[in-house]
Amino acid sequence: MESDQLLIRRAIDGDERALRQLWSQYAPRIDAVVKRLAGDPDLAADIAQDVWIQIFRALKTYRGDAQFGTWAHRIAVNRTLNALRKVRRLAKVEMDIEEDSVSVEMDSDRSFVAASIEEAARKLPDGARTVFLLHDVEGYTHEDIARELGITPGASKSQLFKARAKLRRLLAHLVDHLPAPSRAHVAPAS
Amino acid sequence: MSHLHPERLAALADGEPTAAEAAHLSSCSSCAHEIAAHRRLLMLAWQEREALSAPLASWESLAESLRGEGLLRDPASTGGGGARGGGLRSPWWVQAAAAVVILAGGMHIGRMTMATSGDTATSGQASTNARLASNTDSVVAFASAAEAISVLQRAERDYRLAMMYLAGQDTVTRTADDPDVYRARLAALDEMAGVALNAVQQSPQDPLMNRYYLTTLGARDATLRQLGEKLPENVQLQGF
Repeated sequence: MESDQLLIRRAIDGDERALRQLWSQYAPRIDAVVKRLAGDPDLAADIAQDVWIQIFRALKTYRGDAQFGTWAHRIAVNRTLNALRKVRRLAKVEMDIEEDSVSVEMDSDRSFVAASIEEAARKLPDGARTVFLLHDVEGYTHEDIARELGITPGASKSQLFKARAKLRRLLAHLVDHLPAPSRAHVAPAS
Repeated sequence: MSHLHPERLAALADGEPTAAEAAHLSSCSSCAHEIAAHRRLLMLAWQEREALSAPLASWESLAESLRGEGLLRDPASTGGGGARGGGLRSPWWVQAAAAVVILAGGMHIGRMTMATSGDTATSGQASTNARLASNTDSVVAFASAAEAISVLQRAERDYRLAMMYLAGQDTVTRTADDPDVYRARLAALDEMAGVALNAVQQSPQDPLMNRYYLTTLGARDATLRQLGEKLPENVQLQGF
């Protein structure tokens, strides 16, 4: 199989086969990250296209210090978070307008059936959900998260522990019946 | 000590308890159970990291956007999207394919040409045949690029002579006065030029491909002039 370096050189030259091969090779993982962070599949599809354009646009700056997949993953997370910030700003404006008319209905609709982490994570507040996904799923440190989200590492930890506490309740039917792993098996980044 | 706060239990999934917390956990099965549950949750989260997704967009729509951004070369300028550029060498099969087409075109031209110049061919035939025979299926090691180029030039000359000889043996000949001879040659040259151009676009710095391309264009111009001379006086060549 052709090396990433050679593929990237060809892709920088605009070679469609090289661009497509990079996309084919890394889209399953990159798009999975986008999908997790975006939550909504339609929104994720829109963001994924933008993410890949950004990755290919930035190809010339790839120095090979990290593996291509790691480098692309960073761009995907960054671009997705930027896109979500825009979308949520709009959503917040709309919510502010409609809040009075739907608040009773929203308050009464608290039921949930979480069958997976993805579904349960959707029920978290945006900030806590993003921190949980970045830290516990993607393996980012609190310092990385703080930089990405423009918050302090302390705020990142606080959001994470809130998210975990809520997820623990949401996923009680799953986590109460699994064998307990040792701490060594679950310790991710700081 | 009362039970630990739920968020503190969540933190202890991958964090260190204080001495007081450790003492409490050693005697409180409820809090210890909660921490174990959080660790299971972390394990599930880590497993989620390995999850893959089907691509969220199609390549076609992405390619269209990339073209719009100028990040993907237009297929028309890259010979169907399979282009290489930037000084990277073409795979061997691209060069081989181009060479084969050129060889086939060359045979066609040689046969046409020889219809009027068979004598020239036979004059150098003996020595040519000897050299060709000696080189057949041999493995040649070159000491330098200059030596390789020299051998290549000799091979090209031998090849041309061989084609002329074969054309001289062709009994189905047409005279060089027939404009159709030149039309057929032009058609072959156009086809060769297209293939050679494609090869040059894929390997802009490949001297061999550049030479084939320029040679083909030169032959095409010469043929075009010859065709113009052979046409009846009342017929003007508009283009080919």
